[in-house]
Amino acid sequence: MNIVVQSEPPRWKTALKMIVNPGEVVKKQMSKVPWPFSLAVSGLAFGLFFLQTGIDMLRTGQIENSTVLLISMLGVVYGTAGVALVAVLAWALSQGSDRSYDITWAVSAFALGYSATLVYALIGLIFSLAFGWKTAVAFGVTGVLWALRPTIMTIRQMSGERRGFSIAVSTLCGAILLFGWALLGRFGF
Amino acid sequence: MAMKMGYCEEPDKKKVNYIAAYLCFMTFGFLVAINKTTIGIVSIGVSVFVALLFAIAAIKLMIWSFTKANPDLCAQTGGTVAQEAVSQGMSFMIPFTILAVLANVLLGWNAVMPFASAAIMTAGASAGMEVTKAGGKGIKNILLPTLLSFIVSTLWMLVVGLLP
Repeated sequence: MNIVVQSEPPRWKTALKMIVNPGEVVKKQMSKVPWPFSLAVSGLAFGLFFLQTGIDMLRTGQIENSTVLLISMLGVVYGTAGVALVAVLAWALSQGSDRSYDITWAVSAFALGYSATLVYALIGLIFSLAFGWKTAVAFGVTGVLWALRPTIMTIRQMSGERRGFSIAVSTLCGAILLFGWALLGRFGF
Repeated sequence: MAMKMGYCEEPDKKKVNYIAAYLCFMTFGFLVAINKTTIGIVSIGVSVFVALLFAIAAIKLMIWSFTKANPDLCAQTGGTVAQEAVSQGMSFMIPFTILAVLANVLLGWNAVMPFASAAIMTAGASAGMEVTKAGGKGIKNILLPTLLSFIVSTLWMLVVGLLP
């Protein structure tokens, strides 16, 4: 008897697919991705994004080397704890539990959505280090914006395909994360 | 469901509405104009009008591409599936537009086009997903609108640089 074993796609492929086709990933593949992996993606994405912010500020003489490191660490916390908290907020508002989506699913789907941010952050860092460009806004903010699409798809899935609701809640989540980053620059850094 | 014998089912016109898309494009056009070094009524008017033209072009192009890519599906539904998909997909520009306005007003950022570009690409891909949901087959329904959106947003960025 021949047994056909269907192998699961590698997680990095699922992360990249989240950029191209988040709707399908959220619908069919999210249950196979563990939440620590997803949080590692978003944590690294925001860590590198904040690192670029720090490098930009270092170049203009606003901060010192040690503060760049501190900002990067803050980015990792922002990308893990911050993203998880926003995911829980969206899950609660969407009443995801009524549709059999638990908190870990919501956190995992939300965090993996930041794979686009990670790709943009990596490219931005290369340009920042190689050419001395200021990349935090050009690459970092663009990367965060690109994560909005998976966020919309995740909220839509959790809320039972409510389009208007998913638009409103994803706007709120996007605003919290984007303006949270912007406000950090105004409070002390 | 009520049926009229001998008549094709009438398309549900209520589902097709591009007002959100037009408003989003025009808002981006307005933001682009007020972030130029010289602000004037004419430059704002021209920028908003050009944005509206790009909105019409993006919508028409996407409907055309979905119709060509899914001839059987569109024949079954009288072509409304492409219109409905684009109408629904375009509504996903709203979060980006609101964030762009907030970023401009509250934070004083003048980087409007990254918001617009991400909005158009998301709208295109979301429209593709709606077509897939309605029965459209293949990754073409995701890649084609994404490619078209990329072209539209790039062209718009180029034109914005040339505007007064």
